Amino acid sequence: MKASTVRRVGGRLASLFASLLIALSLAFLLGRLSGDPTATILGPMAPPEQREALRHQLGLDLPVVVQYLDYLKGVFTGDLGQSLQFYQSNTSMIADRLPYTLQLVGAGMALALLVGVPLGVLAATREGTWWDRGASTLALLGQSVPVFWFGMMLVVLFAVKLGWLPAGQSGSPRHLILPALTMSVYPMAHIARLTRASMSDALAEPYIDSARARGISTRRVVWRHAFTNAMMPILTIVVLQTGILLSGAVAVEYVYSWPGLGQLALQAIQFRDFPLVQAIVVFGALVFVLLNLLVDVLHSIVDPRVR
Amino acid sequence: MSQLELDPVTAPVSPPRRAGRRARTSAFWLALPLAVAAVAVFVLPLTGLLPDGGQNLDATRQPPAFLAGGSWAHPLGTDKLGQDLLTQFVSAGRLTIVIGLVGALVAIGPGTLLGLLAGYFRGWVDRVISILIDAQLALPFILVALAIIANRGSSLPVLFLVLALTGWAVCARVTRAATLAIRERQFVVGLRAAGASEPRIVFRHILPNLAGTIVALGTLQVGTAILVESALSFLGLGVVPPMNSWGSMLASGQDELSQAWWIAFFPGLAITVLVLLVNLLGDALLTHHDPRKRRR
Amino acid sequence: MSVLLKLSGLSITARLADGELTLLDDVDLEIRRGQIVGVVGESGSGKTTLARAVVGLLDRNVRVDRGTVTVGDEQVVAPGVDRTARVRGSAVGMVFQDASRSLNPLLKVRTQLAEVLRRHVRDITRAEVERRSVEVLAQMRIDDPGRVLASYPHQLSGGLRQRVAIGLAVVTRPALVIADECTTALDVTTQTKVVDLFRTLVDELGIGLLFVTHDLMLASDLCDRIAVMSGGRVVEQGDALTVLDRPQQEYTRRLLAAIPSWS
Repeated sequence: MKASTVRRVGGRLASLFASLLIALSLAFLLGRLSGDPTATILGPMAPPEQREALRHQLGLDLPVVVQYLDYLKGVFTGDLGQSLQFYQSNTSMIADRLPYTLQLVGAGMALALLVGVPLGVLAATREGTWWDRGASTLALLGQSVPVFWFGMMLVVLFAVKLGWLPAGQSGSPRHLILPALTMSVYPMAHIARLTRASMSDALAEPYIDSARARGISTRRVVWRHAFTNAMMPILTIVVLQTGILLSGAVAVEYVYSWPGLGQLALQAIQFRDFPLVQAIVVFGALVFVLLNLLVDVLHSIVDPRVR
Repeated sequence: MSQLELDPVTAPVSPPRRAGRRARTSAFWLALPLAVAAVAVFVLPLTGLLPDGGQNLDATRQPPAFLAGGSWAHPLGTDKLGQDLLTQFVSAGRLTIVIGLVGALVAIGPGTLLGLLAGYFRGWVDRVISILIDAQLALPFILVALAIIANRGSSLPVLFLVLALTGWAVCARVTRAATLAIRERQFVVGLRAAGASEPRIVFRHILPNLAGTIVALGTLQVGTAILVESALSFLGLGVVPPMNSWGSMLASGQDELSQAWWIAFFPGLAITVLVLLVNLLGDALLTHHDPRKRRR
Repeated sequence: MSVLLKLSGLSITARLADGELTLLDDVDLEIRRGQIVGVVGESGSGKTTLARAVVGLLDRNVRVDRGTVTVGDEQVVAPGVDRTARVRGSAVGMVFQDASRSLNPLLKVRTQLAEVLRRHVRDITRAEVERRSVEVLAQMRIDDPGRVLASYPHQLSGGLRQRVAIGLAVVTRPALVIADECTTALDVTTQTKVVDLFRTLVDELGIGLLFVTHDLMLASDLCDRIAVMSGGRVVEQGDALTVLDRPQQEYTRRLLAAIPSWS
């Protein structure tokens, strides 16, 4: 490895770590600002001695710095604390819900890629035509619609009126169809727009004309030469969108009563279960940092210039 | 060397650049319906044309006028308490538009300021602000937003705080990059050499040069703010009763999907059309300002 | 001597938002085996349109109005006809303006050469691909073909990339090579080397070369014949020395007058 590579990788890791620390600190701060959790747990009528005992038990009587360090230690050893509402370890509850959210995000992202990429390529290869205008407007529409509303209308049409598909809960693959479709709308639109922009940049590169002049077939020029060069921004957005969906699919999960992380977050917020809220924020931040690292690794695989 | 650079007479005339004018025209035609809609939601209630908004338990869940069973007494139908939905729709639209505009301003303001500072002063100022921008763009701040709401409860100030926190970074990044470029331009170098004060250079000379980009970004941010607001209100974490926005109308429509789907249909459609127009307008402004920097 | 390329009466226009622009107007040109023909003109004179028309790389809004392009025995371009795909990369190789950017940055030189060979040589074996790749790089006067084959474009110097780009154009052994301003971006030393390389290729392989440039001195140095273009028309065409010494047209005279004189 070259020295410049080491420096670049080091710098990247450092800035990711800084981002993570900022998020972790924010989450900690929010937990502390929420006031005395013993009132939430024991109720406002509890005697002061009992609350004091609980404060001691929860470690809230320690100096804030010590609490912060304990919290960081917990984060890096996989201990995200205890839920006030469920009397369970936050880590295990997140682990229970995660598979459902992964299912939804996986199916949604797959759909988004399958439609978004060809749509973007279609628009880019026919730049300026009605195909392009149609695909681009469709994509912009996908970024303008409140996705949960789109989900609600899918429920009305396919579950209430036509009765073809179940409207909520999880279980069979049939239950996955509407939520996954709903989930795919925004990333699909984003991917389509980005693919179009990125492809039209790539198609304007001199090496594309050269490849065509060498008699390479149009399909091969588009996919092998232009698309591989246009791929990096697309990969980046796919991975980062996955992160957003993993932690931010609250509204879609709510529409379909899908028992994933988003629902858990919502319950935590409604019951003012701050340790759980904090744990989910921390989990989301960790996922994001890992996915950012994944983007960097993918980048170095795709592009020999950054190895 | 024998480079041939001569004879302007035989050089073909390059086609006149019409892209700018075309973008301006399309921006006008996009802005027009937006302006009409904005005026309508404020003026309509004053005209007395809207149906009475009160409860009427004899006319609950009436479908809109164009469906079987509907009547023009309630053009968009009624909800489960028999309240007129058009009246609600108009007043909710008012709040939605206000939130969109204010939500964009509170994000664009600090974003522009921080971007200007980072781009103009560089050095450690830039480094700190850049780390904050990266952190914001690289982390799921919607969760942080939810945590803030869990903490402080739902209210308009909290909503604006959330919109500012989630929206400032994109603007800051663009402004920073543009400022970095402008500060090296000849006129700024000249101003510095002539001893103009730094606040004057930044606010009187650099900022006006960025105005076009900032307006375009602000327009796009209006769309984002409306979408974020609608999602939060839908979850009961944004606008909550007795106030009403299109997002909170969706929340009340959620429970009625099987009996009265139209309660949720029209506010959602309105949000979609509004945000689509705003996005098209923002794209047109961005293209007009710099055809090469179209939004990704 | 057989005719490799023949343009007769070729007229091409571009449709723009506010009307039409004539890019080529009644252009006649011929290249024979072993011949180097220079097309000279300033930017906008139509010389690049001419080069791109032969391989069918015109923009979507560009249309052939009249005339034909014939490569070998095959008429490849006529109004409403585009059969350039049959000669592109096989009978005609092309080297572009910014030759070092005409390599795909994500693929090794070996992959890019193999792609062209597999496309144009039927049932070629892996060993044969490797042999011809090494051979063509050696022809390009590249000392260590093995290392260059295993490199990505960004790992090579500008001069090497240039030669690889030319190698990619000739590896399929086309009878005709079109070089479009391919020396413009180079420093004088590299430019001389590339010009020498072209001359050797023409001598060794007997190909025809269409050399498009704005540099009249360079063209007169390299080419057998020269066509001077202006405003989409060929204003003067003839033997290189004749055109230089006894220009018949006012335009050519002015071009020549613009060259700084050392004497």
